[in-house]
Formats: sequence, C-alpha cells, structure tokens
Amino acid sequence: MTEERACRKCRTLTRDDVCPTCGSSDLSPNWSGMVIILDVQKSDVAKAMGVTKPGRYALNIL
Amino acid sequence: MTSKIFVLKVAGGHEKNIAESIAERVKTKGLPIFSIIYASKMKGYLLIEAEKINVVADLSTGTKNVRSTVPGLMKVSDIQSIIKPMEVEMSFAEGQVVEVITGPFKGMKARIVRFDKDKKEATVSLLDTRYQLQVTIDGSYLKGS
Repeated sequence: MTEERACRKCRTLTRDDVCPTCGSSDLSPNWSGMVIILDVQKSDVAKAMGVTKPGRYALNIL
Repeated sequence: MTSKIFVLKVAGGHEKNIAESIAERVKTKGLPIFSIIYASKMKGYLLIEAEKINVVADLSTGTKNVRSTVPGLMKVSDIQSIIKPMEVEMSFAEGQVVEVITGPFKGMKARIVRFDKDKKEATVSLLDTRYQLQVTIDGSYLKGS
C-alpha cells in the first residue's frame, strides 16, 4: 500500500499523488500527529485549524 | 454549547489506529464526537472533542486498547499550541548574509541567492568555502545575522 503523505498547503493526509482537498502536489511523507475531523460545523478544533471539510489532517509536517 | 476536549488513555504506540477505529465507530453509530486528536508528543493519550463526557466514557468501555477516561477537561484554547503550531514568519532577502545553524554546513556564513516562500527553502551561496558553492536548504536551518 502506498505511504500516506501530508499536503504541505492544507495538511490533508492522502495516499494519492495530488491532494484531494486543495489539488496541490506538494506532499510530504514526513509528518507527525493527526487530527480526524468528524463534524466541521460543531468542531472548534476544525475552526481553529481553518479546516472546512471532514477528514484526516496532519498536525506537523516536516 | 461550546465543545470541550476530553482525554482518553490508550495503549501506547497504537494511538493512530485507535483514533481511526474510534472515528469509524463515531461514523457508524452517529455519536456526537466532533474531532479526534493524536499529538505525537502525548504518547498513550488521545484528545477527543465532544460536548459531553458520557459519550467519551462510552468509548473507554467499548473500544479495544482504550484504557480509561482521564478526569477533567480542557478547552480548545488549551490545545491551541498543538493544533496550530506557531508559524514563524520566515523571510530572507536576496543578498542577505545569514548563518547556517544546523545540518552539515552548521556554523557557516552564507549569502541568500533565492528564497522560496512557499516551500520555505533558500538557495544560498556558502561564504566560508574556498570555491563558490550553492546549496538549497530548509529556511529553518538559517538565522539572519
């Protein structure tokens, strides 16, 4: 299975070559920590992170 | 009602898998949990964003590798430093003399040739070498002098 990578622009975690959220191809295999956003409307964490879609996001990207 | 952050004690080393299995459970059962945070610095713990503790307490009884709920709660502002790492505004001007603070060129002086703001990478010309040597290094390796 392909290694999961984090988008350097929006922090989305993906196994694809292009970020499914922002379309960027600037992906990093070196990331740590993870946030799973389940409810964007009610989540204050999503608001603090500036996230608008539910999904899995990296906390730190190297 | 504002959301609160509850802490779950989980089996160390399995935090990512546990977070994913909790997320699956939340989706299938429609539980009122808004987000799950796994910070790599907090080994053996997961942060759960929810309104009420009873939903989080249910997770600690019915999920594999989840040990217990940690008493007390946090606000989102308490974990601000975890979820939103302080972005250091990085900017180097062309021609600026900087010092390399880490990596194989640590301690050397360098002159900025180009700086890519998006990638936070700088192409520098090393000054302490006998011949002109240009290298591209991460901006965080440099300190303005």
